[in-house]
Amino acid sequence: MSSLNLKSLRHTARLARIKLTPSEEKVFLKQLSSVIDYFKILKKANTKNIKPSFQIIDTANVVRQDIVAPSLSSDQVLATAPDTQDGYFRVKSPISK
Amino acid sequence: MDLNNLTISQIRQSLRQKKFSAVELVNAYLSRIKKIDPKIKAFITVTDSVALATAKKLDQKIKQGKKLGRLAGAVMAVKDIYLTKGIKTTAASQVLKNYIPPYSSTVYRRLIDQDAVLIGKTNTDAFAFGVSTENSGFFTTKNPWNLNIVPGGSSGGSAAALSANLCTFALGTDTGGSIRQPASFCGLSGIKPTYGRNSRYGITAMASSFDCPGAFARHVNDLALLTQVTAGADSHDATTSTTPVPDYPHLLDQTKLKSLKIGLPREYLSTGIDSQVKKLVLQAAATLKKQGASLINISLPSTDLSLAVYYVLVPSEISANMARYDGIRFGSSKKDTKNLLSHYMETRGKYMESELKRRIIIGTYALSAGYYDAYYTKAAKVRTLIKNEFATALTKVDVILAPVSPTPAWPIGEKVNDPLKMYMADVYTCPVNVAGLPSLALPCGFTDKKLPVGFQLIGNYFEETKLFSLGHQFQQLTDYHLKSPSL
Repeated sequence: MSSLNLKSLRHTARLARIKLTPSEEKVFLKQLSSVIDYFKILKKANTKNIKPSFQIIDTANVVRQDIVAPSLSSDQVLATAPDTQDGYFRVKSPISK
Repeated sequence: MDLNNLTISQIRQSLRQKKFSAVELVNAYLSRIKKIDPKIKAFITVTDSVALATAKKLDQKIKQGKKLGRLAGAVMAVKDIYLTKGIKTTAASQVLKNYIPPYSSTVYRRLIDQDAVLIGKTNTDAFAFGVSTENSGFFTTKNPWNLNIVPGGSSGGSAAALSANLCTFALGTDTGGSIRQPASFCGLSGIKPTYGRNSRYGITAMASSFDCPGAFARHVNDLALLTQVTAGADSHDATTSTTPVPDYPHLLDQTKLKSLKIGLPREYLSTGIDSQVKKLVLQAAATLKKQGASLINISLPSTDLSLAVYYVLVPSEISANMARYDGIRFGSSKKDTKNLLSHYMETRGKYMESELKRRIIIGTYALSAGYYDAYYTKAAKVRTLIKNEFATALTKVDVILAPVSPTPAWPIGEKVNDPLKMYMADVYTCPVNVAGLPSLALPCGFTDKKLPVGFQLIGNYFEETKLFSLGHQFQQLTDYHLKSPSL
């Protein structure tokens, strides 16, 4: 049995903040099930006492002096926004009426 | 003189000797783009006015006898995920189709600072998620060697542009093979440097612990020069290395082929590889052997797990990176939505291409409660195993020689409905990204259908010098890199 079903696909898409159409749900369910099933191959690896690698370089905690340097102006930043007002990003209400 | 087929140093020298002007050079490229690009569709944006303005400034500099940058006049095509200040950067996605960035990526800026000339922004799979450019939100690029065939990807537009002589060099990014595979499919050389060698700043993020910016060129000596210019620490990217950048272009004869130990990983040359590809790759190994190198069979036992590791970890990082697209601060935005949540869901649902949605969902799934340990942590542990296996192999041999792709480039449309089949194309390239090692792809011949085939040389961390040196010597012995498609 596949690890992914319609319910878990819908749940995951919602967590990912993506609205899927019914036809997308149908296609993705098939495609993503085969991808996720393929991941089961990892089970055969013996990883006892092996530490995970979240990155491959040894660098850690790169720090710098906290000095104020020039950055983009708010005009430049707001220029890429679809909707602004009074020098702010304009967003939909987070609370439904 | 064929202005469309010169090396970077030939261009710089010719400009100095006033054999032609920078404007003449740029016009030669622009007229070739006008004639050829409608057939192959490598470019999303041709930056003709920017290119001509840069060329005019350069000619002025030459006239005044000012010092020229190291890449003076070299005409570059840049993958459209590199931010270019004031110049549209789409990531080949409907998400950013009208995005004009307010700043530039570090790698692009370093090249411009050395007087390279931007001629255009090239097509890619949207946000670089893919292996053929068929996931582009705009159109599919054609392989200049055969217009019914994919150019490879994701940096397929850059590879096709260079292969068709529409630029002197091109920029790509390699997260799982996205430079080496299109280089191989289009008959070019391409470098995926060590992770952290080139800055990722200002490039749309795919998987932050894998992404490697790099370049395409015909000649390895051009790649050596380009990497010397782009590499090095960047305060905007904390993962860039402070390891000093060697003078690659002057170290091309440093590594001696005599008594060099070249490892041939058996897992890359046994099952699943096309017989013609295998023959050409082994022929390349034999060419190096003839010069005194010894070929040693090695084993990288976890190779068959690399693809699963890659396709768990990369989508996981993608889902985190792509969470930043909210349609509020930049990018396409859906109008008339009910509230903030529906705004997010409908905007992302409407504008993201299918492959973006697929990978974000896979990543979200692998990171979600109940699956995190089984998928994400497990894959991260197997990543350690793969990394260790490479490290062990590289204590026995100086360099690893392997195919880039198990097959030559395939017909457009052949794999579009089967993502898993498409993902399999990364099988010999993604292990290198899992480990973070440098790898140089080079052309090594053609199939009987006249499609280019490439091989890769994989080195230890920060051993780009060795790779460039070997690649350069290989190109002194062969002429595959000098071939161009007839268009």
